[in-house]
Amino acid sequence: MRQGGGTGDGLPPVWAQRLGAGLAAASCCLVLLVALDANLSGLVPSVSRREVSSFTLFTPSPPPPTVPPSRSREVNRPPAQESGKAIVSAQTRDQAVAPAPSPVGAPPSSTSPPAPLMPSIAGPSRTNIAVDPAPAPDSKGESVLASYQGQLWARIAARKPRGLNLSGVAMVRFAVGRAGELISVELAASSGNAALDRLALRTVRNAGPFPPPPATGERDQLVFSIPFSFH
Amino acid sequence: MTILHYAARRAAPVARASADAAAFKTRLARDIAAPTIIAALACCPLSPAYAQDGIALPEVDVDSASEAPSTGSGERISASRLRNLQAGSSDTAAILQSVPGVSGFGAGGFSTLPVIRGLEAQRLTVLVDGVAIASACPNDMNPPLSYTDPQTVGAIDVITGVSPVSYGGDSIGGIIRVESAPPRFAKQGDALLTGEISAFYRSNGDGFGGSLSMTAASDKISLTYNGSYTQADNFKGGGSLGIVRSSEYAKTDHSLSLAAQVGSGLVELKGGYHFAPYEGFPNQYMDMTSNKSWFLNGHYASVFDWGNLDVRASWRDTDHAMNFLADKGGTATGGMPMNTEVHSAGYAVQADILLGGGTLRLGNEFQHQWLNDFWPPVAGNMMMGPNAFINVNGGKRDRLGTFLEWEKSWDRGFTLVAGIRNDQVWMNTGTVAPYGTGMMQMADAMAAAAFNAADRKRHDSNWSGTLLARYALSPHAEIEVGYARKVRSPNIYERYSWGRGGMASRMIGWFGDGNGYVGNLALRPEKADTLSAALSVHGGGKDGWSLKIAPYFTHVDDYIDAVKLADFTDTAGRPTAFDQLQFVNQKAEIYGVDLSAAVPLWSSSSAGSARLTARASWLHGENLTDHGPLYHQMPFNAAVGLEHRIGGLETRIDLTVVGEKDRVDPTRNEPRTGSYALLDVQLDYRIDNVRLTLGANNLFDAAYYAPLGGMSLGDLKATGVLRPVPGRGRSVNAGVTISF
Repeated sequence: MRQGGGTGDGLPPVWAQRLGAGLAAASCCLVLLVALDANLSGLVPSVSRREVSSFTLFTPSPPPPTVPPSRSREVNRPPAQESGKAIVSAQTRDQAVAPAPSPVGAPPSSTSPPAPLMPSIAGPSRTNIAVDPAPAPDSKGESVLASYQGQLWARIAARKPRGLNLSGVAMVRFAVGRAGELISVELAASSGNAALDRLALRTVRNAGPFPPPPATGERDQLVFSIPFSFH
Repeated sequence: MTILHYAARRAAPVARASADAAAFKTRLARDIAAPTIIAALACCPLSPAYAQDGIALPEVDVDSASEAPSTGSGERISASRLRNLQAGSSDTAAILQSVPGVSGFGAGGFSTLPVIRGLEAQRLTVLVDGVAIASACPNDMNPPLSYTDPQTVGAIDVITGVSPVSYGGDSIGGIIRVESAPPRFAKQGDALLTGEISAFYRSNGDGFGGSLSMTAASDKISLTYNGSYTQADNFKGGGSLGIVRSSEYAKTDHSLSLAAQVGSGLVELKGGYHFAPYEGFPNQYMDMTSNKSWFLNGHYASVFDWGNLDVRASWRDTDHAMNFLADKGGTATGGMPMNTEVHSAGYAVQADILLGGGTLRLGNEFQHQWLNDFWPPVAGNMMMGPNAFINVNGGKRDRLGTFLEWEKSWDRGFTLVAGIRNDQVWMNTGTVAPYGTGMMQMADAMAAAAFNAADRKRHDSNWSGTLLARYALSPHAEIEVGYARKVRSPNIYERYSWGRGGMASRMIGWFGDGNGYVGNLALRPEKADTLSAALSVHGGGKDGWSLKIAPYFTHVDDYIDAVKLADFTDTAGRPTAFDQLQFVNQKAEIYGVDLSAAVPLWSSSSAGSARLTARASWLHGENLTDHGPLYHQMPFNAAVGLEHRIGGLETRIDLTVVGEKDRVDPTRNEPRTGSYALLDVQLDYRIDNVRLTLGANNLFDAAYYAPLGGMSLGDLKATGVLRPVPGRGRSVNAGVTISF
């Protein structure tokens, strides 16, 4: 009566078998994926390692920077004793790091954030730059820090979550250690919604570990804060 | 001398400095990839307030509205685009045809069946608020999209290419996801009362309708009502093609949804009612004379430290009735009543677990469908009596889907999505019966006996898998390549339609071709291997230029097509234009390419901004078993649109060109159709919270036959002349929307 063949009534053994075979296939796939993941992840550290070297080359130890790579974003005018150089290096800085300090009163027009560019894209070229002869030390520190901030931001922004159709701004504060490890993540200001706060915290937590920061001076860690504007 | 000395002293540092400057310039040039970041950092100087919080990084903007589908070959039709188009059509599936690669075959006024890249509705995943809606009609008159109204839909995602397994199973084609507007909440401590009311009129067929959406919300609870009504008489074909009979319709949809924020989660409960008192089908022998459907959906979504959890439960009952509307003879003599009843219920659980820098998605879903389809006897009719015709007796289709998917993005701009999925499908149905066992009912009586004697229980274990890779070649170019193997089990009507009599088989089929269809218990699931790619280049930001090229190739094993069983004959025994066909497994392949592009023309405060958009689709579908063209394949088509915006005025002019359909499926007696061009214009004017729309579809009243429109059976019955279903003639449409 029931001669439905493979699709017939012999259900339990047949589909248990198929399910078994399928699960085996699934686990094989997963193993392959994990292997691929490991491989691809392997690529990324090698790139960031290069970046690290570029940083160490970047932060010129001799002569020690007159201004420590401070958190201040103002242009630190170099000491005026070398009058000629002062003029030119100020000019140079205007060309080079102009985007960084110039818009004095510019509102934080962060509603149009930069495209989440991958810092590693710029990585190799920076390695080349590192062989450039002694650039002005202080602006170097500045631009190194700015570029590091850019990397952090891009790493976090690349992992930004999908919106929940809720509005709020959650401010997350986090500390990065000498090796780029995430030392702490905390909520500096709540969005007023538990889900949004959690999304923001989670995003930063998942973006770590970061590339090692440039010379942090005496400090063991650098503290950053980043707002997430949900709407 | 002093001067010289001075000059020398000056020259050295200048030379050194200019070398420095050159170095800096070089670095700038090389660092060209990162200037935006630096610029953003510059825009966010350390403010004293944040100084104690550490170094302030720029804001990360998370805009829920701008979320695009996460694949390259997809498109999102936003609420505002839908509002633009609602004045012209009440048919959600027809609106989707503005997406490259999407076409649709004609049915009732709000029941067009979508086709994505040559694969039709039954082969697609169509979700409304995350829930699949089971078909409840032998002619598929009430497909999922017929329960949606463009007036109240929030947004629609269409994925034409390879899609991740987490987007749905038991389908081999693209994905259509219709979403209601997300719940709105008030600001903390506030209350919110907001809404929208709209109305429209269309001159062709005197179509009119209206909708009301209202939300009352606190900061934690939101209650929304959505209601809409629409109706139209028979429309006129373009030029001198005249009235298209059996094309009138009316329907109303209502839903009430309650949403609450609980901890870090959102709970939603939505219930609704749909009623369509009548919908004519110009290309079917029957019309829909009533369709009532009730549903209840529950949804819980929550954010955890480990990831997201999403749980859905759904229930829907549908009572569907068919008979003849006036154009097909009405029901004065009883007509031919056909009733379908469906109960469906299901759940879906999905966990997105953040793991190793990526996301692991685990999901499980179950869907139960129970279907009864019976045709009551017609008093005094020899053919349709003395008993009820039992077409499907308690047909059951249960599906348990499970998937595992992994997605990871690397910092180099590379994203990989890999997933595997299993769908267990169990089907069964009870014994059936013909109207009677008289001489004229012999074919059905014998078929019923054979069907009842056969084993009807079926079980399929379907494995699917997807591998999608996306790579950002540069900030202005991305490429996506995907491979998928997808499997779909036959639906209840494909497997369990059994009638062999001429009339019984003519009642089966959603193809609009006038042929009769007989199911097949031996059908195997369709298995499709698809390769798709999408290369996208763009520049100039959101309103900049873009170009997307998306080629694809699909090979389907066990493609469910049809073979001829017999000619239908007229009363004199001569063959007619229609045949009796049976569903069989064959092989098929489809390949093609979709193009889309946009370019800004000008933008100034005095002349406004203008933009040119274009799209084109070409495909080739072939049945590898009989080496003929596949049925319902759209010929080459292209569209050019000009959008202009100034102040509150938005103007759109769209020119659509469709090539001649000369590749037709001989098995289905598919008609050839000629090429045509349509011009649509629309003006939208917004002033405060009022939006006025005035437009014309098919402005020059071009006469044409829609390539996938099917045969005009309503006209055949009334005039005796057989022709394809004409396309709509000119319609002047007006609409108003007021938000409050």
